Amino acid sequence: MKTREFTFKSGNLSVSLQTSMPTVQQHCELIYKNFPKPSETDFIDFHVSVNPVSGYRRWLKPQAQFSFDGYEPFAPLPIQQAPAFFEWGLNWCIANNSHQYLIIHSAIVEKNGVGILLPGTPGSGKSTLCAALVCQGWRLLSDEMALLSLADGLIYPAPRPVSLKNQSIQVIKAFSPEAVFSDIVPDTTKGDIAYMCVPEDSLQRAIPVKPAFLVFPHYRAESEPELTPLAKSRAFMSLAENAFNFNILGALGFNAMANLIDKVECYDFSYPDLTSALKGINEIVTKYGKE
Amino acid sequence: MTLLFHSWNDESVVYNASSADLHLLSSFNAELLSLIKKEAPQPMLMTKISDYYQIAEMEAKKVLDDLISEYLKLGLLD
Amino acid sequence: MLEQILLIQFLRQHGQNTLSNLDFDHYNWELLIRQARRANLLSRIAVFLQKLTLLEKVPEKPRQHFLNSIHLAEANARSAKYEVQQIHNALQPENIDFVLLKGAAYIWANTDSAQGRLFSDTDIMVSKTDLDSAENALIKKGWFGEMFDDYKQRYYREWMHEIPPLQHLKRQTTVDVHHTIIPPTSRLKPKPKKLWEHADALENMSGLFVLSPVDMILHSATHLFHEGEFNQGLRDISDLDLLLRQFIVPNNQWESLLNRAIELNLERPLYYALNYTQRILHTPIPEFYIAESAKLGNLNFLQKAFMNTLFLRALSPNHSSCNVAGLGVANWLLYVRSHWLRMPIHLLIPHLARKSWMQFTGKSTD
Repeated sequence: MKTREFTFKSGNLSVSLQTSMPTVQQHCELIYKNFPKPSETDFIDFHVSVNPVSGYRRWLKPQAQFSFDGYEPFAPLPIQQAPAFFEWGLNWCIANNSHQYLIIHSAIVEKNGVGILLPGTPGSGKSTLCAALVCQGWRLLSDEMALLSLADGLIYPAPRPVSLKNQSIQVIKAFSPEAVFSDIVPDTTKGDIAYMCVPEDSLQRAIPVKPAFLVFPHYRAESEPELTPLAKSRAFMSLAENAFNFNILGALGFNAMANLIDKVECYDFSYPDLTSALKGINEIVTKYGKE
Repeated sequence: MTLLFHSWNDESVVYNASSADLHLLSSFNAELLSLIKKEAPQPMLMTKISDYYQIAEMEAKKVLDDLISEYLKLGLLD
Repeated sequence: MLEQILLIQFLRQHGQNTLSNLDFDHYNWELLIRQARRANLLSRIAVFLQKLTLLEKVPEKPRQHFLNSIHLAEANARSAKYEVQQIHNALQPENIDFVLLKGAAYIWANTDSAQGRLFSDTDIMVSKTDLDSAENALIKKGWFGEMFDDYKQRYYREWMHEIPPLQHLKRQTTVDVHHTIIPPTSRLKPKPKKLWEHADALENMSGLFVLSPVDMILHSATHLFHEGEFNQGLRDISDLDLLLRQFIVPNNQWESLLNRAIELNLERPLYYALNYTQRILHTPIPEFYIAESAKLGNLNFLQKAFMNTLFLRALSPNHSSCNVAGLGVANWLLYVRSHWLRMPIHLLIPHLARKSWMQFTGKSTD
């Protein structure tokens, strides 16, 4: 199979992917076709590849391998997972090499200049929420990694397709029939995964946002939606746990996080279903808009 | 050992960049930690504690000793 | 051939102090960064540029990558300092002296080779008699023997005569406790006692030592050329280059270096170190001493030529832009050679066969 190269810009980051695998090529043709492209002379931040693994295993149980400039951070995965492998691998590269930012495991979306952080704590339903908000017209900066600039305290966009798993895939497809999805990647350790394309607007308007709200979502079936203010000290501790490079940045990371928490309103938000979740989050913005 | 502090109302976060340990303390205890590190005189610390908790000096000494022992365990003091 | 590799040109220029002459706006930073990252030298070249106050001349995007790699190196150094302090807290109460080796030693002694040096494990050396009590003292303070399978445990304890790496339960950091600088099953037998005799004590940390600079150089030479991992090849050559320039070149201490190599029975590794740092990074080593070390290393002409081909190919940065025909084979042969030196041959075959099986079934990622 012929190797093809795909290049794209995600916010300030430029990526070049080389792959000979048809599933990965199809994935990229669909997902990345509208992304801005770096020019011939632009600096490429990450040169990665996803290719089949050679060796006798190729015939028995074919596998794919992700490589970042020849370095392979992971053990190979079954060949059906190759498109997801590319997405995870690229996340790894960004999380390990972007220390001009404090990198937080969180979705970050924006509407009317208001930025909302939705950290990806277990049981949060962050990705489903993020996907639904984006379908409603919120701008996507990221569904996985909020890049908090050490220099100016703004969060910088690095839009990538929203990854959804298992039932969430159907939920969002039902919620927003016009949303464009990749093929389903089956049987990963996280279950079935599919990627939702990034809307045009999020790609075109890739500007940083001042974070205004930090909302920890908690999906609780059969409950009443409830928004409770969260003590900043507690918010700090929870968010620090979700910051990939907090300790690499040391004092810089601590200060960046403290400044962020100073600035944002912090909440816990528990919700029983998508509709009430969206209602609750939109209300937060309206409230801010009034003040 | 440098510790970084940040407080919001009655709670503080304390970070030791060398050990990469992050702690959540009451702001009062964080303030005491900071004073202990600056080698504040013991009588001053005991007065602070007895005023805050409205207890006698003797009890304040025990509170201080327990606190120091905790801090040593947590690696906040050495 | 090597001259065509941008990273090697860059390192040579650093050695000659001509980096300020680079055409910063048009330099191929992207290629340099990619090669350096792959050779585990990105932090190092970033620190070089930073120390020469040349970083500000680098265009924004590559400059950002350099700065980010410096964050990584600083975090690594912080963590290393803390780890060693914790190890010291565990061993000192039991009166166990220890010598810091490799990366941790460079950081604590602040040698030039500490610049941008990244490393994961902390390597220490204790006396052979202290080996068991050191293991116990560390386990008492939160380290534990990693969950190696029985095979690997035997590999370390019976064949390598070492204790397996210990991992700290909470911090997930690793300490490798040695009692010599080469595995005792190797053919070379430098006497640890002699290393201790010359070791330098670290101020304010009683019982904590680093090897003397000459011994650091010899250890680094031995580690590079008798270990299986050639991914770090160029990084280790760079360490050697910096150590030689800092400790031997200024006062021409070549005689003491050679004499010490004889004393420790490390003549051959020294020859390789001198020959290859000079050829790859143009370290200013007088030809005379390279020739002397060759004589001492007792290599015939054919051996030298063969090793040349293998080493020079294998030591280029391991990036596809540096691919030289036959590199795959060269790497493998050198890997075989390393194990040949560490273990008597009858132990060799079962170990290698099993390692490749594990790789093929995707169980091991080392």
